[in-house]
Amino acid sequence: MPIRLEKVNYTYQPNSPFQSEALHDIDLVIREGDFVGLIGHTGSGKSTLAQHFNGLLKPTGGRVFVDDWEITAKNAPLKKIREKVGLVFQYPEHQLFEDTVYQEIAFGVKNLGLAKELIEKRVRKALEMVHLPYEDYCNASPFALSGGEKRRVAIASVLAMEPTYLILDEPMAGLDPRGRREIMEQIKELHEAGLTVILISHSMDDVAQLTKRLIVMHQGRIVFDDDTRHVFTHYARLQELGLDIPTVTKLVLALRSKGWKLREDIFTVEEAKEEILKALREESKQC
Amino acid sequence: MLRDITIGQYIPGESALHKLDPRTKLIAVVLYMVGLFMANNWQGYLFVTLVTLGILFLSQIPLLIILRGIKPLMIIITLTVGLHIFLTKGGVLLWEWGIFHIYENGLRQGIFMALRLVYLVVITSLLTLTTTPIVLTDGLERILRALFVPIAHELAMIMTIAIRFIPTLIEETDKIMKAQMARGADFDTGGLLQRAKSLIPLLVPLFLNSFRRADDLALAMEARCYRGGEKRTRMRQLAMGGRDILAFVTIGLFMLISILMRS
Amino acid sequence: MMDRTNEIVNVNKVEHWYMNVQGDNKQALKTVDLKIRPGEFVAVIGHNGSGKSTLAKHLNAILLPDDGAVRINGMDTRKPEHLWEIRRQVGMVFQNPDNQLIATLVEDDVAFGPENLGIEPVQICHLVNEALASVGMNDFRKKAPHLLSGGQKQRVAIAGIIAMKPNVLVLDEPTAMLDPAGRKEVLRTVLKLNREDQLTVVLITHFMEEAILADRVVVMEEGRIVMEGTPRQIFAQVEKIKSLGLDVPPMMELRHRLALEGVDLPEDILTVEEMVVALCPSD
Repeated sequence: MPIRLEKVNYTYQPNSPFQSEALHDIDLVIREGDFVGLIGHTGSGKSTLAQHFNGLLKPTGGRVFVDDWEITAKNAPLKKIREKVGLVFQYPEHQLFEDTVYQEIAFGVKNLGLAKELIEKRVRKALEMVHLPYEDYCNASPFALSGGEKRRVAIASVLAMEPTYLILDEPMAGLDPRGRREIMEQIKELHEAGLTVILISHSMDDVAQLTKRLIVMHQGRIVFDDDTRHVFTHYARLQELGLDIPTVTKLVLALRSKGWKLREDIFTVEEAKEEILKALREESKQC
Repeated sequence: MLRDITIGQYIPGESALHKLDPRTKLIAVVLYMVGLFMANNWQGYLFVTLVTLGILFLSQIPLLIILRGIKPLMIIITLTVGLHIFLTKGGVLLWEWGIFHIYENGLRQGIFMALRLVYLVVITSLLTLTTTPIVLTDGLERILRALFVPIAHELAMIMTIAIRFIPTLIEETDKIMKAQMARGADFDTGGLLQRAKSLIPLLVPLFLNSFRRADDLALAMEARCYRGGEKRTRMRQLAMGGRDILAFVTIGLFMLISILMRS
Repeated sequence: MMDRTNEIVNVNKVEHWYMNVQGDNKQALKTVDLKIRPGEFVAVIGHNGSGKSTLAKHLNAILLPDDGAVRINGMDTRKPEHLWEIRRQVGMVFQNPDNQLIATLVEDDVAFGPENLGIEPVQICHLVNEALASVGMNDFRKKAPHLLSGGQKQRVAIAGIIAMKPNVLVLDEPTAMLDPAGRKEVLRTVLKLNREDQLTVVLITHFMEEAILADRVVVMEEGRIVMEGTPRQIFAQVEKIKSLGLDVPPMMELRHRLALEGVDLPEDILTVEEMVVALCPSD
């Protein structure tokens, strides 16, 4: 069952001098199994939008449905919705507070009111999913871990609630290259394990490598909502919006302008290598 | 919700009040308070009211903003006024219902108390509304130094940093709250104990993050050659002028007249 | 007693130990040697825990070497009498834009450093004006820091250093918490200060696209400097960089992969433009 937004509007501090419109007439459906990138620069409304998916924010206009629940309804089961739609905030390690990794991950599950044995099972599974061995980590203090480990514990604490949808807000921010790669691998695995993933990012390179569908936001509106590959072919418009296209795509565009016959929708180094080799072998270059 | 707090808010402007030296304003507020507390009859309060309105007019701050500042204090004001109205005896009995009596003196005391509280809030908010926090701390630091308070600089520094970080912390509180709600936390239901307990997931990270910030900030300050108040100069110089003298004379007269009007 | 060399920064066989959370002694810097000339732009890369931040903190006497010496313009950082002059000469900008601005107004924050140095008020005004202009933040001088974007906050932090008339600007991952626009903004500012105002820059970063702009790249691993050279020399060693857990700029990576397939291209391609030229030699 999908997450569905109908003509969603959101205004911060309505009817005050500080009033500002963050979302404007958003229509959107996210189906189970999707792997969606949500991109836009700071202030484009992407984080505001994400907080509508689990009812942390309620639209000032329009309607949001998660499965058959309407989050704007009076008795909307917000806890159930938040169980279904997991949201990992930016720098999630800043929200850790328990004495042990076990307690930290159990926090969300406990709030669901599960039995003790079930909680332990969930914690084990969640730690497994983020590749932290249970025996080594369950009694460790979350604050004694490295930056990357802390982040994985924070992600595990959301995973333990066994959400259907997982929203990650800038999950790679502030990590070193190794940490970034690990988290990226992690996200890919989670999607392969069956989670519907929504990845919020400013990095075109990251969404290009991971996602299948890409939503581009600008000034509270959806500018593109399409197959990721297809979105990148609108490079001129993307650059106009202040979004960078992947470096490899820039190269491909430059070569095409020189008469090379290359596919337009290339954004990884490997794809570029293949295409350039093909072009060289065909001796079809005309420069 | 948290964003409605208006303490320490500053409204830029060019009014006579904005242009006064912060030291003048701080001292004037103290003198005003003396005058206000001296008033004890209708004539006295009428005089104070007129002067307060005058100051309000000089500040050119919209009345609406002042009223918004009073709103959060309505409960305290109502409570105090209620206590005075019902507990003060003497004078003509005006109203009676069961064990409740309202006497003339009680009503008068209640009204006076309400006016006193409102004027206090008005005048102190005017101070912050017309003075930037940094100038205000500057003024305070210099007054404290003149009074030979040994930790004048440190106090001022603490105030500056506090003012600087209030918006950051409010934002952070909001964010942590949402993050824990996303993990199923519930801040709104349950008994008092339950609610107090539910604050732990909010307060622990908030404190830890604040310590981290304090660490970072101390490092950044040290790297910028901060070594306490000695040898330190200030870019912003304070200078008193004719306007300040006029202010002192006015507020002094106000205090004097207020004392003379006592009965 | 003039230093015979003309290095502005001289890190000589520095060793540094620290106590970790578990209470064990760990070595953060192992016999580190680094000399930086005036006007140079040096990038330091390495993954977390490689010792690059520890090295940075040695440059302005926030940390002192346990063995070896750090000299700034000939001044030994261990001599207390040099402390404040060293901190004035070597300014430092940190990662978190929220945690290094002290005042409630931009201009007051920039004045903070000069005020600490005990400079005359009139003079401070000049310094603040100059510093804000040099980072392009003059229009924001009366703003409160929390209303600025991340990139703008970092530019104010840089201005706060510039107002102290430093000789060296050390930036410890200044762009790690910024969005791409903010990152560009900060980098443009740093480049301008280095190229136009001849300020010596030491940039610690995780982003290889930033490191390639430097005159020299220093790679750290487990407390040691393991590679040093121009960006072209460093990033041409694709396999080695990758084995250190670091990223290779995409064009270098592409060149490497094409070379493995037998395509003959120059070894030092860094940018898209250079790749285009290399692939279209007839132009």
